[in-house]
Amino acid sequence: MKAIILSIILVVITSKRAVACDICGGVGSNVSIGILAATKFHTIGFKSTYRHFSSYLYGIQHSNESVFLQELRFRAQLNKRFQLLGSIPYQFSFQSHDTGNESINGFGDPNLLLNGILLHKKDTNGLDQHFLTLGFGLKFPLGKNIASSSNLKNLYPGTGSLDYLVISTYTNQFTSKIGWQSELSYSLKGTDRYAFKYGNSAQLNTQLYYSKKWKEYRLIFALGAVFDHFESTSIEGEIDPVLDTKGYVFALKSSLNLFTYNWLWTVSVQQPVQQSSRNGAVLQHTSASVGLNYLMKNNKK
Amino acid sequence: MKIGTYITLFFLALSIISCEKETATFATSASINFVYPAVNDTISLGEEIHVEGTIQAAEMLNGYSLKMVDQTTNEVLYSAASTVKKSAYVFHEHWVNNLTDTTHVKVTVEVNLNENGAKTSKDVMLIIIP
Repeated sequence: MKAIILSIILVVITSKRAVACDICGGVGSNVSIGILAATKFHTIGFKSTYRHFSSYLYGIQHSNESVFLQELRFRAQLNKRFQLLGSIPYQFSFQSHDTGNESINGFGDPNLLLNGILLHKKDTNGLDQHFLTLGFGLKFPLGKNIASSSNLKNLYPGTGSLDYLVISTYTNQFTSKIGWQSELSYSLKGTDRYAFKYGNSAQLNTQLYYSKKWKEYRLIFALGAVFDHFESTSIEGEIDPVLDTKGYVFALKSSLNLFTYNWLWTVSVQQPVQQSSRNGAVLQHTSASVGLNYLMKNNKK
Repeated sequence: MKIGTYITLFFLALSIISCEKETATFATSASINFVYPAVNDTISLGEEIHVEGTIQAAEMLNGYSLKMVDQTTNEVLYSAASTVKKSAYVFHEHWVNNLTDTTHVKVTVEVNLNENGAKTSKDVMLIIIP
């Protein structure tokens, strides 16, 4: 009996691998439309996001990961009912550990999303009151990726899989200045050519916003929370019981948006307050992003 | 007091804090624990030698080094070193075996206990088979 138990323990121990960072790299984020879902402009812009992680093994910190994600984004108002959104990411990732540093950069997986406007209700003054959308999209496996045998797989900008995206947004404008916006998204991850599959992920993003006219500009300040949930990764359909990558991150989020005549400037900060990934083996720290979008008036009624 | 005076005082205080040298107390011993490999593990040609484990001490350590040495030729097959001062480390290295003859390889983790050269180490012997 002892020999059987010892064999089982040995099998479990020898199957353990150390993956640098399970929730970072090309894996981390679900698609997001952002607080200004209801605007009628076509947009083309740039978003730069910085994320930072610490990884632990046997309770000892062994590395730090920094991920700089640059995205070229666009939104086209196809007609009154549909919006087409997309982004092309380029990522720089760095890992520093006790015996050296690693860096990986390259294009990530681009995504394309068709968003349908289900409800757009205005009050008697023509002010948006309720705005509800449902979108479906694809994330294409065109980014740089590597086999799951690499300890740095998660730092690669692409996942190597075709992923299906679903997103719904709801905006409720309480007054001309105050509103509430929520996003619920789900990413159904595909399998890469090495039979590796990242776990499906869900994200709930909810925030209150306050809009104020400032000179000829408009300022929108938003405060809210984001909850990310990651299911376990698998190889050939099997979830490694030791390398359990299931986890969640609950974070507070704040953003400041400035509308000028043709431009939208955005600064956003996210601070995790509760999280668990690989039983504490990966910790996500404060993340921040800046964005700049050029607004083009939509002439279609 | 003018705002400029406050700013000057702030930067003066900041520079004093920044110049303050951290005095670390170094450890006199450290515990080295190999998770991988096991003693006398046999490794075939093309197979990976996976070295993983922990180093822990009650006080600060002055880095460590890890070596895989061919016991027949004394050739250093793989080495890695850290000069980071910490009280705990995880080592985790891989080397793909390219030796074609049967030989022994010694994996050594050597810990620098302080800045004066005091060290402690632990070895694990492996058997390489063609």
